Amino acid sequence: MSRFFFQLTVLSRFEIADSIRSRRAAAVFALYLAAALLGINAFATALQRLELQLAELLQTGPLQPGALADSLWKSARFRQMIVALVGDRQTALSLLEIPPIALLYGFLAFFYTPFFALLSSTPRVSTEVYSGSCRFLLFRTSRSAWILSKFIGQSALVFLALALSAAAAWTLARFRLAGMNPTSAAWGIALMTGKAWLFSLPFVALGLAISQWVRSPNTAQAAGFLAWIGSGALAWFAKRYAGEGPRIAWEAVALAVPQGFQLDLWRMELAPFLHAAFWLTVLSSAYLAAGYARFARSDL
Amino acid sequence: MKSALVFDQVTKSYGSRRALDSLSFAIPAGSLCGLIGSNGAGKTTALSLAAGLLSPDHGQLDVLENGPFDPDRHAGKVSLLPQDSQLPPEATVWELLRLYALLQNVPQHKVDATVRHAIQTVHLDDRLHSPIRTLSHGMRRRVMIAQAFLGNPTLVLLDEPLNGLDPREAASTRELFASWKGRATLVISSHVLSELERLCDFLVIIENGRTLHQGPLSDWLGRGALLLYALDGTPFDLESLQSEAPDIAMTLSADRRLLKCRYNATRLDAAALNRLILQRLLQAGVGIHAVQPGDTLESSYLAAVPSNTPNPVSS
Repeated sequence: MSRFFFQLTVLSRFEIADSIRSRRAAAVFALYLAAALLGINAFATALQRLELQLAELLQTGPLQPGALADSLWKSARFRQMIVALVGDRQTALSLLEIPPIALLYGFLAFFYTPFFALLSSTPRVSTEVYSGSCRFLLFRTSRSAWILSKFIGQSALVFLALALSAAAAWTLARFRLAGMNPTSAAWGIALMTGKAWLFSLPFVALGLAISQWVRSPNTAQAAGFLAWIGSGALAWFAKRYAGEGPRIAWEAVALAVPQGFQLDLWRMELAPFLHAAFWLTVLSSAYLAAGYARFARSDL
Repeated sequence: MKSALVFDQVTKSYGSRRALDSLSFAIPAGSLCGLIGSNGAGKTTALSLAAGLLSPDHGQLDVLENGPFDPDRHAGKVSLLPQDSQLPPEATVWELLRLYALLQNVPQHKVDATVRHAIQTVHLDDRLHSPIRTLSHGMRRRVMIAQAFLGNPTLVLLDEPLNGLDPREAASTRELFASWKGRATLVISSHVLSELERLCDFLVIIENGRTLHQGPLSDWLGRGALLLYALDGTPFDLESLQSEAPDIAMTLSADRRLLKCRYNATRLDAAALNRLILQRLLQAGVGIHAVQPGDTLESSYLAAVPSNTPNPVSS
């Protein structure tokens, strides 16, 4: 067992280093950065325009950029309005506990992280099987340790990319929205980064599962894209059609896709977070195991 | 005698194509074994099976007398130089060999020294920190050779190891292989039969996924039982010569340039045979360019394997 963990550590370190060295990692980092920066910049621009119009309308002096959103968030009337709009008091109040800039960052991160996680993880196994580079390793280590190291490495890569994009988003927001409370924004963005990373784990596992089934890296990448679309569609159908009688099957579908637990991650209480964390871990393990069931017996 | 690698009735198919068809052989521990056969005969499949990269459909494998290959059970004892495989392009030579050494059970405090020695052996000291993608094909091949000898493997499987090496590196690599004789069992699959003839002491010939021959190389070549005379083509009376030595099977090539004398080594030695044959040939005015004990691997292989051998086997 100690040999297994030693090999897992050595392989994971190499996987992280190899991922970071590759041009693919540079592309993934750039995508994360671009998505976060463009989103935050667009939000800041829209907010500033709104604040400018409001200042003109009220004939007050210019508002400090970002101050409006912060004030709105604290306003009792606005909170009541959001509760009414969301329809679920607990979720709405949870959302209002998150600073607006962090909320926006979280929304963006939850949207693009699954896609980028699949994009970076789907070719990781198939590329090495295709090129034969895994043949230099798999007589030295077990296939299970190798696959697990890929999961650890890719998860770490997603975390690094998310952390980088979070830091960039906060810096940009600090620059563009002077009225924003920097401490609460930093805390909110860090919290959302952690949750988005947790949300990304089953997608990394799904990408690696596809990569273990499909030998061609390009086909694996295409299958990863379809999996992203497909899981999103399934979650949408599950939410829309779940109900009494035979429609209860849709609830099972919601359990099989990570998006089924996304709402829990938005909540600020511990219980829904733990519920989501548990099921996302189960899903990650199930996806990885499904891929490994084939890879363990496949010819290399 | 202990066996390093045993195949017992091993069958392996890829879809409907049968790559190995009840393949059986046993390679003695400590030998330098040449694995030869036509393209598609099943050599690469056999080596991949031995290293656990493929699973057999039927039959038994025994690696180092410890059952079929298992990365935990055979940890650090087996190494492989696979054919047609690429190294990870972005890692440097140093990083890659360190990784392989750690996984090959080299103690952590010896890893750096082991890797440094391996890199020196393949003369890549100046490319230590170069990414693999910046190396030429031959240099990458040398890194692959270096990784196969990290640590203390007792079974080294080498698939076409000299492909892509320049003559100087090929000679140096041959020396490396020879230096491992007795320390480990080396199984070398190659089409360069002259290389194998110089290096190996054991031979396995695979054709159509089956074993055509296995045994000591000297037996296959007839060393100790065959003398070859390279002649200048001058005509002489072969029947008369044959009548003087009826126990010796003589064959003369059509152009009279090669005389093969197969003899019973228990009754006659090479010196006695030479005395008779050389004397008679010289008396007949035949010019003698060379005398060679035993056949060449290439000519004996070509004589044994029909050129129209169908490949591969289909079920």
